[in-house]
Amino acid sequence: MTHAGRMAVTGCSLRTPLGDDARAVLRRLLAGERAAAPNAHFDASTYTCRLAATIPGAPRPTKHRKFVKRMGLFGMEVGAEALARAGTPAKGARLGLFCGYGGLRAHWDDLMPVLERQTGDARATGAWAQGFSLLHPFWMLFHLSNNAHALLSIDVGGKGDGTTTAGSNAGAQALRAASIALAVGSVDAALVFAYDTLVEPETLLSLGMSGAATSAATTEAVVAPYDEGAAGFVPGEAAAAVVLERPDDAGDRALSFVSAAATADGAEGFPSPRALASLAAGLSVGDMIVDGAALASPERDTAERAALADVLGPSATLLALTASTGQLGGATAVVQAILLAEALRAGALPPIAGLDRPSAGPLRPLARAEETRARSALALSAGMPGLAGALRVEVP
Amino acid sequence: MKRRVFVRGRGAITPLGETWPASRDALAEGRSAVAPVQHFDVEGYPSQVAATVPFPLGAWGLRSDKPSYAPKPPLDEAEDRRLALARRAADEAWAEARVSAAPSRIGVFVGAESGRATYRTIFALSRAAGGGARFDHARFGEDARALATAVHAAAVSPAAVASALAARIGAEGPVETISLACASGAAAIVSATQAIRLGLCDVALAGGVGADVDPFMLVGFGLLGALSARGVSCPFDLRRDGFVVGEGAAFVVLAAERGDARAEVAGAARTLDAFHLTAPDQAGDGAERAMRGALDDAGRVAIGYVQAHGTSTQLNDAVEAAAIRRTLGDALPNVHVGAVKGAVGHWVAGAGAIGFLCALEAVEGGICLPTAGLTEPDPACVLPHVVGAAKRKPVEAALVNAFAFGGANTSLVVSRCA
Repeated sequence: MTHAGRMAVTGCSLRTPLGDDARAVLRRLLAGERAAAPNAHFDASTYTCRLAATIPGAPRPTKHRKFVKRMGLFGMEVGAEALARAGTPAKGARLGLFCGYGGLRAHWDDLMPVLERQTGDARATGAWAQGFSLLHPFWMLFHLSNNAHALLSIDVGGKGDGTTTAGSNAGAQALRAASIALAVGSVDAALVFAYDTLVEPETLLSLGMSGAATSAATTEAVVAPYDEGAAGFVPGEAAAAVVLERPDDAGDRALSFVSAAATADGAEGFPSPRALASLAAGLSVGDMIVDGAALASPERDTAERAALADVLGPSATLLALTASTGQLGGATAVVQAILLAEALRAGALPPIAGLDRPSAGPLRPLARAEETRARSALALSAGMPGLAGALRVEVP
Repeated sequence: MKRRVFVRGRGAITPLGETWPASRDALAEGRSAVAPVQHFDVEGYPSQVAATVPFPLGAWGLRSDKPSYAPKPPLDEAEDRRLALARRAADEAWAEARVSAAPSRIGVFVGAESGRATYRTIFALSRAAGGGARFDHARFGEDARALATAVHAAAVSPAAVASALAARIGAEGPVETISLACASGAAAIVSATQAIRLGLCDVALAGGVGADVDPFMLVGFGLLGALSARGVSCPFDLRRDGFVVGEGAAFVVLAAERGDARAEVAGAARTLDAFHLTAPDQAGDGAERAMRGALDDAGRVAIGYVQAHGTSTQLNDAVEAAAIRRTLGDALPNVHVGAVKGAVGHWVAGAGAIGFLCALEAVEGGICLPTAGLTEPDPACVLPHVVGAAKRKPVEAALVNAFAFGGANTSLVVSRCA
């Protein structure tokens, strides 16, 4: 067994570049829309990667702005919403909180004034007098990895088991950790929330220079994953949350069911297709639909399809939600859990947005939306360094 | 019936020793590694001491791969010190464990925070962004390109350590990175224990690493008022005034198969305070629930040693001491209490893991390690402290605490194998 078993989803919420209502987002996915646009956060015209898929708008005003930056606040919003929608099935020590986040970002607005007068020598000579003393006393709290986790636990009164898992597959890690907590009985309900953005200066710099992110100048010029001309993905951002319960406890309140797995293989870049296929094999129950990692690299995409074909067979349907939403880093798996369930409930599979010339190979990359009677699907996520996540989504 | 989880291997690199046995011997003598920071200028900092690993690590800690890395590199040049430290400790634990399992049955669970580019790299990035008070994106997009590898995910992702260790030991099972501040390392051991119990894997490398002796962390924690202005780490002492940043890595190898193990993880629990971002619940409810949860999970065991979280901060130590007294109740007179942060500082994400090794030592070796720096116990922190040097006595079971900013609490019980 590679996962802790199937758990019921009884509430969910999300913020994505295509909107914050799962049903409305699905409509846009089915229409083949893409959220990619010139970077809305800052002028990236000189960056190697100029496009991004960003969440429109800002988090709601909150006192937590003193301690948590934008994406963490989105994470807290969706967490509270998901729990409310689930009807708050557990409280206090029986409610667990499991957060997935991509990792700390530099937050240059805070750092630049502090570094302006530094000399930059190896010993940081005179750093205090030259600016470090200007750092805000709460600067450390913005860099507390579990700040959103902690403050949300206060807001919702969750006192049970909980962790903050981290990395670009953090959503899958958090789903698995929550499932384990439910399986061992340490909590009766687990709020899983994940957030991440790849639209930060240093992240875009790294993704762009490594060739992982697209260098296309316009949305129209972006070539879709699994297309023979694919040349890098669009960096995105998202926050998403689900409430998990044991299936017997959820009964007919179950919106869907998920099981999750995560691993890592030490690669400096993306994980090997073999690692992704291995996770899929551990979760699959004869599934014939898979939302791929969709890295938009011809070599990677081809190898992924070959590896998945060994597990699912050559005719499985291949989706790529991130062709529409952008790559979502540590938030990917939780977004997939919500949107795939929405698609399966609607009986409609979204196309791979922008897919014009599917590359040759096994699996069936979906170029146009189509109806489905399937009740389950797999989803994969991949990030650096060598991080892989997978989940199986099933609807009643 | 839940599967048993045996401790098959241990490894650590600390400010006091390059291996766990060397560290343990120094800890047993009551030595402290806390000293003025030498490798960068701390003039004006709220706290100017730290417990630093003084041993050469080499780039990426490739001791076993390239022993020629003998020349000691400046600390600032190890781009990811987390990994350099973690690999040393993990190698030691893995070698001692002598376990065999299919790659898909081996998991890795690591408590680690995000990596940080060095001060010099961050400075260089700021200059690429114009060097003024505001970030100049137009310049950054052009001028920072040569610095891209310094901020690659392999250097800064919190998950880089776990990913690299998985490859190093050939693990293809579950891999997890926990960034839960000061409870990360212990929480990772809880996750590994749960994974083995549930059958998700048969062997797990678990532990944590902290590498926070750098200018940004010292300033950040210092401005927050968390660090000792006196420059002393003295948990539970009347004179305590904050923690001292330390660094190091500690790992264990856990397995479902006993082999020649002498100890096992008998109990594990995590709780959340849901109280405050930085302060513990003064009633100690979350801490007490974590300890009671771990003890309930362990069943009937006689606790002989407690490795306390013991940060050397006013409120945390008092709250923890009271929670320990309530939890252990009548059993307290039979217990000894130690806190390793007095000797090696606070490793943040690695703190709970080195605490676990200290508790393990009590069970396996009958060595109850002391609280270095503790000379005048605070009446608010009355406990059967181990003061001075280690005490030696048979210990059937030991309790470990790790409590984090944000009110995340972890407790573990390690016991002698029946």
